[in-house]
Amino acid sequence: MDKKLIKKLIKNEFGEFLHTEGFVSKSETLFLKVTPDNVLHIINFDLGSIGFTCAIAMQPLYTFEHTKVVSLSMGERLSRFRIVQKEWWSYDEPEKGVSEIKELLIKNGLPWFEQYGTPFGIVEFIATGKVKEYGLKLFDSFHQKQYLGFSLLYTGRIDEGIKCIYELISEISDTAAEFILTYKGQLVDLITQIKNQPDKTLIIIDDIVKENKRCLKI
Amino acid sequence: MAKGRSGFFSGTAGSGAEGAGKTMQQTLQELADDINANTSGNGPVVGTNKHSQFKAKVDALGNTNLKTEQTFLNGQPVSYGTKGGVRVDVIEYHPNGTVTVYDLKTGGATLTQSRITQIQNAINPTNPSSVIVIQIK
Repeated sequence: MDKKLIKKLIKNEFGEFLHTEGFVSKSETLFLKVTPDNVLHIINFDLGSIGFTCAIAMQPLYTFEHTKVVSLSMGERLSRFRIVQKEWWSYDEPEKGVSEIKELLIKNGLPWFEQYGTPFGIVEFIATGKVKEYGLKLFDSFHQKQYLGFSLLYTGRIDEGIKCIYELISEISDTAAEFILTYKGQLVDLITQIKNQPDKTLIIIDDIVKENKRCLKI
Repeated sequence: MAKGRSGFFSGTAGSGAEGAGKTMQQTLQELADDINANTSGNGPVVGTNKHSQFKAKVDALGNTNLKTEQTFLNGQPVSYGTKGGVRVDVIEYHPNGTVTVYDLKTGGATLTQSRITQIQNAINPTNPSSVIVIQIK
């Protein structure tokens, strides 16, 4: 397998194309787009041991996180996004694989970003049960509540957002890892602050956005 | 059938029954048995080769509840090579929200408690016991 060749093909096939779609190349295998309302659109290629694949994901930058990384939680590999096929494309036919990925991105990926890649879209996607319909296995209950809660806050539905984040907090078990228990305490503090001073919500959220952007270097 | 070398369990929920009365663990153990029977030699290169064959066979099953070679960091699925991330061979998603990880071990390697804890905290640190880790040998 020649990973350099795959990276070159990715650059040739996607570099200019994604640039016109508003994406910026963060590395040879990662393309990101920050929307005006602070949702990160992610296109990530993984070059694995048995082949290569491409995942798409969305990440609300107004979500208070315990770990600040580009997360593929709300996403899926294009080979399993609204369709079912082998997860990996073979290194034996790199051109064919890259071309098929591009087709799937145009057919299923970019329209998903377009339709649901906003704070309001994320609320609709989660609240109306689209997660199952689109086959997002990685998007677990915890992250659904987290993204829904903060999207509700961001879109001004403060009471519903607070309720959702309390549900998120209740999902954290006593046997959770230490850093998650710390995060739980931080969430309680954050939500108490918003509850007591709802007019400060946007200022608080704005600080979260700034911190996430700083950590992700975007 | 599994040859009695797998089954290092951790967690509470069991894996789902497959078609023909087989559990997923049995199905994956059979794949590993087949690879072991047809791949001779020892050492890291052979181990890597067996891992690749195993993941390719799992991928070929076309089971949408199974994912191969996914990396996790602190409960988040992340891109390959993310610093501090833990990459699992095979992960099975169950309808009740629990997951089972199948960790292929080759040669003299075995699944240790520290590896189980590492995997559980990487995949679901909010409720680590919801992640079952099973050794396939």
